[in-house]
Amino acid sequence: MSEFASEPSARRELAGEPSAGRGPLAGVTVLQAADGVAAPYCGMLLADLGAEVTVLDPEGDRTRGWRADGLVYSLLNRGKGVAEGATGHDVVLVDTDSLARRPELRSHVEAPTGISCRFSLFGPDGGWGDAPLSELAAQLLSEATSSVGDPGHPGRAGVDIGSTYAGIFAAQAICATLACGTEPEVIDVSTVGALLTMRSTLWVALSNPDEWWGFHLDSYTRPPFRGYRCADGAIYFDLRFAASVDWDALVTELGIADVRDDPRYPALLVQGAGPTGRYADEAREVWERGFAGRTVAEVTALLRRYEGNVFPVLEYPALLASEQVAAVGAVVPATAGVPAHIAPPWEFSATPLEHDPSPAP
Amino acid sequence: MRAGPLDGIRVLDLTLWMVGPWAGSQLGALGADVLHVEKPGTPPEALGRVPPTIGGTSIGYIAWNMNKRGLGLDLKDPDHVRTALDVVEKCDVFLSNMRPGVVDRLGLGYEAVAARNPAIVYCDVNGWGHVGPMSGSPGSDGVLQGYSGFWSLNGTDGEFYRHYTQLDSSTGNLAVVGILAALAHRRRTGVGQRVRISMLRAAMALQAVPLGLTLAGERLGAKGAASQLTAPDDVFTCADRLHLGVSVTSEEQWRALCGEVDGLDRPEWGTNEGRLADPALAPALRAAFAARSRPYWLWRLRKVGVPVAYPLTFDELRSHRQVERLGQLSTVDTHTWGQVTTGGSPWRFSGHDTHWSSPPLAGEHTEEILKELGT
Repeated sequence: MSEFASEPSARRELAGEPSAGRGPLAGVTVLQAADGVAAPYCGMLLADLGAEVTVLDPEGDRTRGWRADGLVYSLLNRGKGVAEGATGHDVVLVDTDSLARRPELRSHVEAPTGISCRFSLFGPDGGWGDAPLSELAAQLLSEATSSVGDPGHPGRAGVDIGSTYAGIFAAQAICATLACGTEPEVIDVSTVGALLTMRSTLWVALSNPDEWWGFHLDSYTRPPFRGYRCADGAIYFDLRFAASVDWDALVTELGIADVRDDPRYPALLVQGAGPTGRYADEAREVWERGFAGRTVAEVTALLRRYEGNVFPVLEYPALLASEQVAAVGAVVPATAGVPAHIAPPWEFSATPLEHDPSPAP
Repeated sequence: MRAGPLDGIRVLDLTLWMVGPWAGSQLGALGADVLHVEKPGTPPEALGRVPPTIGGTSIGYIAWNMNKRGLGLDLKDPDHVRTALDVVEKCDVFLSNMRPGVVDRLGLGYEAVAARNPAIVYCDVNGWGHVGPMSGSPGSDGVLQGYSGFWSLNGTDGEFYRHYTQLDSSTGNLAVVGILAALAHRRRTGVGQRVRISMLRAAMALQAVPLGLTLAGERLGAKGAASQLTAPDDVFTCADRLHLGVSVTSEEQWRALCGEVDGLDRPEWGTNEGRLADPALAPALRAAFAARSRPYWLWRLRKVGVPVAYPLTFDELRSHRQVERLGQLSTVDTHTWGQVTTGGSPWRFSGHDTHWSSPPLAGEHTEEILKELGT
């Protein structure tokens, strides 16, 4: 395999010299010439993997204004430096917004010398080619909003899933090209496209199913689900795949033995034991009646005796305080200039990440 | 037809449910030769358990195992494990998402595999990580949506995202990033390695921004269709009763919006934080957008660079010109399940194509694979 065409750093690294830095992408240089969430999130992943990521015009990044202290910007851009120029990098991240603002960046997609990754809302050309990036627009245009809120009313996934998914897909494509590419490459990733890909299971489910039932088809009809209420919180549980449940013993122990008088029993409970079951909505009230007055810990212990898959439903503060999160080291404490943040998700045996990022530029 | 960027890369795929299979299908779409292992003789109706079915087979199996070839191995049979180790000598990537310890007990742990192929990139994925009190617990999308707080920002009061695949597939996607970064390193050094990731760590990485805000002391909560980060950034109802999404992500866009909507140019709304904090902004905007039709606002706001959009439906997306231009929503001719539509590739490469092909039946290609590999 030959290395990328002409950039000095690409030649040096991709010709096979061992890298002395940390992480599998040590030695790879990345120019981040786009702001918002999608490209910076991609840049953050690449930086976490050891790449040297530099930001063009960090002072002009719009996310600085999203919080008075610039926290969103700091979170997305930790571990990056300031770009001294817009050429000479192995990888360049641009988006349709930055290309419109800075015509000098267009050469990266018109005559690339390395890997250029271009983010867009709904493709870089065509009727939506000039539309500015927007998380809400991506969720609406991909119909991702049909999976949240009351049916018929657009809701929203609170996490910026379109932007972060696009960032992850872009990192995939960039790493694939670093791993196997031989020529300069322009990669296009759109936030709408990322969400369409992530909804593949739904699209397959809509492809002439044997029966128009199954939780992958339920986006348009199911009401919101917020977990099963217990005395001190909520749980997520299912018993769908339990090999053998003594249902009579279970409903007796929960104090809902009267459900046996319901002609729908046992289908109601067997196929309503968990939010993805056929009778989930009908059975929820019955389960919650059995859980009332019991704590999450008590219900968890009880259901697990019946092969239940049971976990608490947590908000962020409880998650961050959990023993498991501490055990896996998912939170990195604040250091000088770097806010407390979530650690990179990977462990590499030969190229440990040694995560200790510098402050955002 | 041009090859995918991973043409020449071979993957041994010992995966089940969604996380691992989805990761393998992504590698296959990028051009890798992915050998998906199932027990020989497994009938189509026993491949996966997620409803609905198409032709008797779970749509989970169909959706998550595209772009692969089928290799039939019974990993409880020592002879078949020996065959797996012979195959792994000819592979670049080993991918598994069994619970910690299971793959080791089968004789296919990292040490055993690396002993046969030191340059292998060996990726194992699990639910909760390899340490801690929950490390042996099963993980699933719904469970992780609940535990990781993903649900808590959705909708009006916090609710589960009803397409229960987002954290499964996010984990698979991040596993692919780790695998490909390790392959990039191997290209330069010849050194293989082990890559590990869990659903918990992946879910938290996906939520890096809201979790980071929480670590700094912000208390986030569900806000309907409004953004956690910027304002105004919400869905409004226009005079024709159609929904309109309007996002302001920069001060330049805010000034542009102020030029189109009377009464917004107030000092307390001069910063994003001021707009986020003031409950008076949303009613003012609701009244303004309710006074005109959606086409009016789409035209006016697009013209001045304010991001606007509207909800599309499945049927609209199927024939949408921009979707066709992106090359998404691939329709795959399968030999068993008819024509199946999938979301398709999220990437477009200038020098490569990506491909979506039928998932295999169990062991469908065993003979040709073993012959090709000389095992």
